[in-house]
Amino acid sequence: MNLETILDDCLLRVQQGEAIGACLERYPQQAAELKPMLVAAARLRTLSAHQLSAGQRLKGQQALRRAWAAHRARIRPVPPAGWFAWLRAPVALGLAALLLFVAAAASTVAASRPGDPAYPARVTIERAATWPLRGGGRAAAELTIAERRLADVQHTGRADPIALGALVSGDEAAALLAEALPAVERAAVAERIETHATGLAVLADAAADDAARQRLATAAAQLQRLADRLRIRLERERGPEELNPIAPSSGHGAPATPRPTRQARPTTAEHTPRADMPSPGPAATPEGMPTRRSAGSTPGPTTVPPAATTEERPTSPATTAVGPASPAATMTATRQTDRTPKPSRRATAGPPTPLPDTPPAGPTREPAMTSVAATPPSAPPSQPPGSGEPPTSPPAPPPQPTRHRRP
Amino acid sequence: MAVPTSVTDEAVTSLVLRCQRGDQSALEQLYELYADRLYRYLLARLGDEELAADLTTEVFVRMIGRLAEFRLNRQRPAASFSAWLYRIAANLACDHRRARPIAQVSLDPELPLPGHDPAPEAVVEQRETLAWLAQAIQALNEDQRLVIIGKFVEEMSNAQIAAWLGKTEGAVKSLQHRALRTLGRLLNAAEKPT
Repeated sequence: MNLETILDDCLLRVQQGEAIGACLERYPQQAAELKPMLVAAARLRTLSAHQLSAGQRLKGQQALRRAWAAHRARIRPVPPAGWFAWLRAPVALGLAALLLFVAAAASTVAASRPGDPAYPARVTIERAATWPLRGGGRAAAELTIAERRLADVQHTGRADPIALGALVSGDEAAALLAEALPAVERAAVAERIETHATGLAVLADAAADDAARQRLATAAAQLQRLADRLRIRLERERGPEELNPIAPSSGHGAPATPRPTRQARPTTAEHTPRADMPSPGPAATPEGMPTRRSAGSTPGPTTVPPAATTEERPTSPATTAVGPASPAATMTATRQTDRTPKPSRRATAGPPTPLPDTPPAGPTREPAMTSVAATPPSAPPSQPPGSGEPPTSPPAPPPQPTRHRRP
Repeated sequence: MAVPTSVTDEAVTSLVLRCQRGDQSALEQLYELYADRLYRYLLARLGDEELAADLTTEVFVRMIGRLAEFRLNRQRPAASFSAWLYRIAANLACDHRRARPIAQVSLDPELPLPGHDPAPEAVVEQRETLAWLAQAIQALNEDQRLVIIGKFVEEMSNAQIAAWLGKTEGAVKSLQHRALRTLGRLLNAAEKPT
């Protein structure tokens, strides 16, 4: 047996009441070494009888109560460590991970482009932001978002069906909302829709493949029809008011100065000259006829008869480019430059042109578009007369001479 | 001490949690459970009854201030709480020793083992014995102190001490042997001059 075991045995025997001497006799060889250890153990055992006296205990308890009261007054109790205590860290981690995921998803969606997997989500989310709006605000928001879709198509150069669909539906919603708006705002909506149509038409012309061209042209035609419908309603509403101004000027050459029809717009369906239409030559277009194209690209029409001035209305892309800043506007201007030298464009149609039997796109514009001309979308309705503006935006349009003329 | 025998893990867990929630009665029950044990430990370390009583109260005052930060060991709640309290007491004893070193006490080897005799001579003898013990225990390390205090002051078995300190029984026996050998050597050294 080693000394540790012998010591442990002796300690147990002493604890059970055996005398130290008797223990030492059991292990005579280790007695000298065991004796001081057993004596020291015996002296330590004297401590076990000690305890706090009643007075010391009472004093201690009073001190504790004071300390407890001070502590409670200083701090609030710790939150209960119950069932959900262990959940705190995982829940916090989960929330942090969720926040990170949402932030990453939001940035991905916001940066998506046509063709990206997240692009439909971006289109839907941006469109959903307009839902709380009402009336003119909603229409303006729809148009703004439609312009974003147009910009997406222009930037990527892809006729993405989602972008085009969102663009058309946004403009449709805006057109629907515009029907309840005042005439001025309705005209502005029509103008912006027309800008979108022009932008799409430009893209359709530049499209590389037939499928993309077809999609772009279809969308452009739809938007053009929307704009035309709005304008027709405007004219119908304003017609009676402007009958009187028209009458005196009708003799000024109403048959000879037909105003440009909507077919003059560079919609996709009309980009190619139509064979069934008379070729508008210089004689067909009265000199100085301030069509929008002539005003924008040939800044020289200074001899504009008053009656002709009244006929001016924004029929060309240059006019539409005056609308809200959008990527389409730039492209429209470029296209306008390309088109200006083409004399066969129906925008400059002169004589009372027999309209085609079947309009190429959208409702054929009535010859008399006085109301639209009276409030050109590109010019603010409250523009003061004689403010130095070019003749393309007269402050007070004269009566329309072609009001009663039907093809 | 008898921590594992009379203080169950469930009781300590309940009392500590209640105390952390602000239950004053739980604090008083914890005081009743541990005050005498801490008092004996401090008496063994310091050899002064009044001082040991004051520092026992101070241990609980410090416990109140730090209880919010204390986390029970779910495997051995009673032992972990007890060890935490003894650590506070050991720190207090060390602080006090640094501030007021114990005066050297010569131990009479023929001094009879003190009993509970209220006679003045017995009181003096008892004080001398306590002072010598405190001085001798000071020569041990903290593990050895806890082992011999657990074994001879609190009358715990080796297994109980092992569970309390988180050691094996063999380690406890070894610590006990080395502690008693040191104390015996000090006792022999005290005998020789006389």
